[in-house]
Amino acid sequence: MEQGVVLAPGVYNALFAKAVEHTGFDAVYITGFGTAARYGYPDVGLITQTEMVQNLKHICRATTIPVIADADTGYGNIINVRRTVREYERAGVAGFHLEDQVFPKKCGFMEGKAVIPLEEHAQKIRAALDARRDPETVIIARTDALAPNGWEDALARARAYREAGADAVFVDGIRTLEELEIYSRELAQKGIPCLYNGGLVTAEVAQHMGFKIQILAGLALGAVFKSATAAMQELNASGSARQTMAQFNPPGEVKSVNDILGVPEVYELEQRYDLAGEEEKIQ
Amino acid sequence: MSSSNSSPNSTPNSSPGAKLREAMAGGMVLAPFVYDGFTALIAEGQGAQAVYMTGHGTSAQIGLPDVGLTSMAEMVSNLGYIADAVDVPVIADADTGYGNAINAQRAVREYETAGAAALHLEDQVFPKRCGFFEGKQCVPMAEHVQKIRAAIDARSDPDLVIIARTDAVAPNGWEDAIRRAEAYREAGADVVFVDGVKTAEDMDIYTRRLVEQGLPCLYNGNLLPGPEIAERGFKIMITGGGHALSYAAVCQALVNLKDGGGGEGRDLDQFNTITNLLGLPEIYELEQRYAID
Repeated sequence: MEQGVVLAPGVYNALFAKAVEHTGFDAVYITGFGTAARYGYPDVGLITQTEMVQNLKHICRATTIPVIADADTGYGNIINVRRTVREYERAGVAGFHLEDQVFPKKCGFMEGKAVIPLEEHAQKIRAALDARRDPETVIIARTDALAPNGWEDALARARAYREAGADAVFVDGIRTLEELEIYSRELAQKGIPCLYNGGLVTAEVAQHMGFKIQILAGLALGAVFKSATAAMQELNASGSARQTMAQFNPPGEVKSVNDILGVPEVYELEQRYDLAGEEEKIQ
Repeated sequence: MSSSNSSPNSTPNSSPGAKLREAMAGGMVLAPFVYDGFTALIAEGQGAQAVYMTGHGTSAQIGLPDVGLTSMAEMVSNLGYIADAVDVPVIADADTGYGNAINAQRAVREYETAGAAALHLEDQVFPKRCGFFEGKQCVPMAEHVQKIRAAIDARSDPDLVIIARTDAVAPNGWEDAIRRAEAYREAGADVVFVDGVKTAEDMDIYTRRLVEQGLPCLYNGNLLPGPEIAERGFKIMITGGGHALSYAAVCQALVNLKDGGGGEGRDLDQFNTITNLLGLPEIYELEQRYAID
């Protein structure tokens, strides 16, 4: 974050997090939308803190790059927020965002969002800062006020959350370039560290606009949706998914799925501890 | 979750196992590989009549290779999400049953409770490894026969489909694999599954020596398209891209982004298709139905 913009592609499981690290990114973003989808649900606050943390544990263990996580509303009030901060830290995240939606929340791009009073969320941010055991844990205050309340309120909230001590702020639900420009002009270029969620511009442009973090929350989910849908359509039409699988071959320089999961290391360990020899003796 | 919530009477009193047996009575069941609720919903949305929960993919999504590190509890957790997400029967990988016959009995009860229509138990030494990896080893045939008997005794729904898998082709050759498949069927397995079928010759042996002898058989792979596997008389085929396809597609998107891609904006149609698939319209309906004012 010190130098330029951190570009964090969004994934929702450990395999895809490994892929993000392997293809050379400096950080990975764990999407709540994707985590909910993984469990078969829409992103409307049905997924519990326990399930989010469980997923994060697997992901943090599978990667060495910083993990930026979605912590939704903190799963309740400030007391819940305290526990969420501790659980997320213990899972191994580098940072996470807390949003000012009414619990249960909705995806930032869905209809029907509602926000809690500004001061209540400022207190949540203070509680989160007080709860962290590692002062380096990056706490990002997200506001969802743009859709329900408009820019004036969203800007007031972002400033207040920064004032309360948030390391970065995140105005979600940016749908157009005009909105992105307002975000940049009123916050990112006014010295407030800002996170942009979306792909309206490249990372290079986002950096030029003053953003510190850009996340592409839907990257993995979109790729999985496209490829799996194509495979299922082909399977229905011809009883085979081979063409789709050939079309989505991993790029040449990318490790195979078994290699990235560490199968060669397992064979090495078996040699080192002579596992095969032992099994022969048992037989 | 969409249809299980909104249409509770679609198939009254029909267990997942019974649904699968009904589908098998109508011809070969083609079950695509899925590894989470999302891919299961995609498969169901495109008309799959059943889905197959891969152990390889379940391990991969928690960052582990398929060498018996993933616990039964982790498999059951994933199975529960998949079975809740879709209405079609779920055929699940149960590895070795996670230990001996006693462990296998607990696995059967847990899988059944989680909503499995079928599960397969393999004759590898615990901890197992993927059917297509090197270095597989099998327990003695008699031991796996007992495990299959134990599994059958443990199910509370007699329609739960118990599939006996043998991994003996690679370590021991076809004669042993055939002997084992026959013995597991004799012990009461509903279906047998010879894994590690790699060549057209393997496929011909499998067809001639087991399928054509009247044993209900499962084929895992894509040597031939579904209709040809069905014509050979197989009862179940598990196939498709699964997590390997997803991994490849995600890597493509990442490499494209790394090479300066991105910045193309939002795909609103795709967002809406995905949220519909996940049941968002039903959530809005429920909000209306239980609204306070």
